[in-house]
Amino acid sequence: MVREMIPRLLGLMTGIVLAVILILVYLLTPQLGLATVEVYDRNKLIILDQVVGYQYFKQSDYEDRVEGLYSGYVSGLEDSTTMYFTAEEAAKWLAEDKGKYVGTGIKFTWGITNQYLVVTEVLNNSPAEAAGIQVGDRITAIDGVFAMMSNELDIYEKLTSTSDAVYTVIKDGIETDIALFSAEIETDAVNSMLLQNNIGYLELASLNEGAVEEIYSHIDNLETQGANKWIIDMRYLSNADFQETILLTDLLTDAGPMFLSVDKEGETTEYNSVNEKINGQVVILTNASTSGNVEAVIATVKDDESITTIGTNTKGNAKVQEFIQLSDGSGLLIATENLYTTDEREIGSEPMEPEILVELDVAYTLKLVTEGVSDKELDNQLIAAIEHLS
Amino acid sequence: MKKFCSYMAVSFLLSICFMGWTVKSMESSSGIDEINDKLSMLRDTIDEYYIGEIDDGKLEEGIYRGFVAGVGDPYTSYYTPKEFADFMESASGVYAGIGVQMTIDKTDNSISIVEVFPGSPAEISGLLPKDKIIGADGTTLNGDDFSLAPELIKGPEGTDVVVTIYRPSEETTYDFVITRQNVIYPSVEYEMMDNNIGYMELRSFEELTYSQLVEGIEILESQGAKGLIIDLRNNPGGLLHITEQIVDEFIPDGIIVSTKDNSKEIVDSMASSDYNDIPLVILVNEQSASASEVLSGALKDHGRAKLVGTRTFGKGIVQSILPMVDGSAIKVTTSEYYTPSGICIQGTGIEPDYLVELPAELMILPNLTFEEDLQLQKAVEVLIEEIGL
Repeated sequence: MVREMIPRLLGLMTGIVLAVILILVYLLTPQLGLATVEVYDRNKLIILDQVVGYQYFKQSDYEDRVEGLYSGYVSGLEDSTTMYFTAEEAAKWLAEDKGKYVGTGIKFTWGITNQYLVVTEVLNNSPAEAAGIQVGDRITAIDGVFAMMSNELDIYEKLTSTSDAVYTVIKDGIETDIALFSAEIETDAVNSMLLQNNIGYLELASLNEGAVEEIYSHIDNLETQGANKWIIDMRYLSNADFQETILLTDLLTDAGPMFLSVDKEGETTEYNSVNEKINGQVVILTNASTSGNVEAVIATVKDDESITTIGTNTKGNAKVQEFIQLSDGSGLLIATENLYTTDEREIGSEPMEPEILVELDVAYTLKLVTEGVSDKELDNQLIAAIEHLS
Repeated sequence: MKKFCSYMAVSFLLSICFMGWTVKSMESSSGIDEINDKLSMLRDTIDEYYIGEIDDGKLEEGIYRGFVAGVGDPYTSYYTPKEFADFMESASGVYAGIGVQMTIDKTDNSISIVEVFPGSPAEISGLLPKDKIIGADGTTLNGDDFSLAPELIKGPEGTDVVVTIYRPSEETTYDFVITRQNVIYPSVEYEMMDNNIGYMELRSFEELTYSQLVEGIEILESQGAKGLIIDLRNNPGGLLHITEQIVDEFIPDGIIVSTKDNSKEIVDSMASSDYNDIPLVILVNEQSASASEVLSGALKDHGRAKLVGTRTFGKGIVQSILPMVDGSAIKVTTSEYYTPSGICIQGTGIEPDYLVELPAELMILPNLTFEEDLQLQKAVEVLIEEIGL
């Protein structure tokens, strides 16, 4: 009997051992797996998931981690102009690309203590305006989450989310809760006014399709009022539509070549100015928020004696980008072409220095972070621009 | 032999079925296939359009980094093997610094100096609190570079670093050449004020802070102090066990602090009976963080001290670092602090009994005189009332 058992047992054991070996080979050789070749270590991911899932002090969603994974994968390119968008972010981006604003209509800055937000602008026809939110109001909490630096990520998520939220707001010293929803709002790309000494002031908030056409009509309007010198405020201008950047550069240059773009196949495209250049002296205001392909405007007019840049360094990340929406609604904003000046210097790989460096006065910032609005009289960069033209 | 073969075949097939099913269900439950599909979609798009260089190693690190960061907590993060090695080296103190405490000032996205340690190379060179670090060794810095700044500024002891400073109160930019040194600085400073009031500033919670505090109180009491102001403004925190000792020094019994983790288990740390009953007022502000909040929260909840100033920062979480076999590591927030009355410190902070804000123009000054320091004045007023002078 015992003798008969031995081959059976041996058979059983060998079978199991062979199966284990085969499974291990399968696991350790991704090429043999049913899925495609993996660009990461699957076991490591499973361990990370377990550690974070069990050790993290709060409940956390696996789905959030997976979205983070995609975002991290794209961030691995280490290019500040290429990024991943979740489906919600992608929808918002697409709407904003059409010149719309998506949100409650509040623009804000952190208060000086980083324990509240100050409303700096309330967009016309926005839910925030309808709810009576005003510039200078302080937001102390959203959905019960304190607007403090220690909640920075949560607060940013709430501010940019398209879901409804209850804002706790201090107006004239009294705290009230205001329910706000998110809406798509048409916004003005350009604001303008006539300043002293016949200076036309153009503030560019965004540069989406049709924006430069608007700029032309503002210029016509100001010229009839006598404007013959210009301040173009590009201090908070980023994410411009590339076609509009071309048109804006055209406005600021005589006929002829402006700048170049080179794609991944090494194909060069030259962009030429076809329209006449604007009449009169021009000052362009820049700062670290001046970013993206609009930096090509500044690089192109650098040597023009009649155009002066004033302010602080630009951000320095100009690329031609393309937005690709994936089948599941998420998206990728991708740098597709590099930009060069006509003498082949790369544009936007480094921050661009203004010709006249003027740091914004502390007094201006202090008033802004306490009251939400600052005086034009305290805006010493603007004052420097006016003085330069006078 | 025939039996051997047939038994082997049967057990082999059964095992394959069982283990294959386990592996497969493990994969699909963690959505590996879905992840792979989407990653290849992203990769195809990148390959088709992206102009820059692609480093596969960096993309892989990005996967782990993003997956961990996806929990949505800025303190839970992934370290690559190199980052973890660097972290361990800096934690072991091989590198010397210049002796400043920095923070991100969100109002203008700059790196701002909270504190210049006494006797440090920074102080000797003339750096002041509220100065903004806008460059180091020729690299321009702003708030986005907060983790880069210490890397540039720290280095071997005795070497020089050029630190570029913007001083808001003078609206001037300065270059300072500073020699790096290992800085040990006293975390406790004290002095006698008028009306028999002792003043004690705790800059952070280090190994020696408790004994320095006890010694300081003894000296102040021997000089006739009838009440004590403990200044925790701009104190970023430090060692929890030292903080617990300090709380214990002031309360007779009860909870010092509670910690709660994912399992919802609450661990209380309790006070022992000996205590010092000197009347206390504590100064706090928006930069009082972590251990400072444990201390001020406990003494407030026990009715042991009145708090004067502004709401504290709201950092009440604990991280653990878990090394992995390949040399990488994850830092995970594992638990959070609650004050004795059950207030969650994280994201809430400790509310003062007397809210006293400083006007914006005083907040940018490096040092305040007593006349300017409205918070200290209020603390004195409250303490005098407590003592009953």
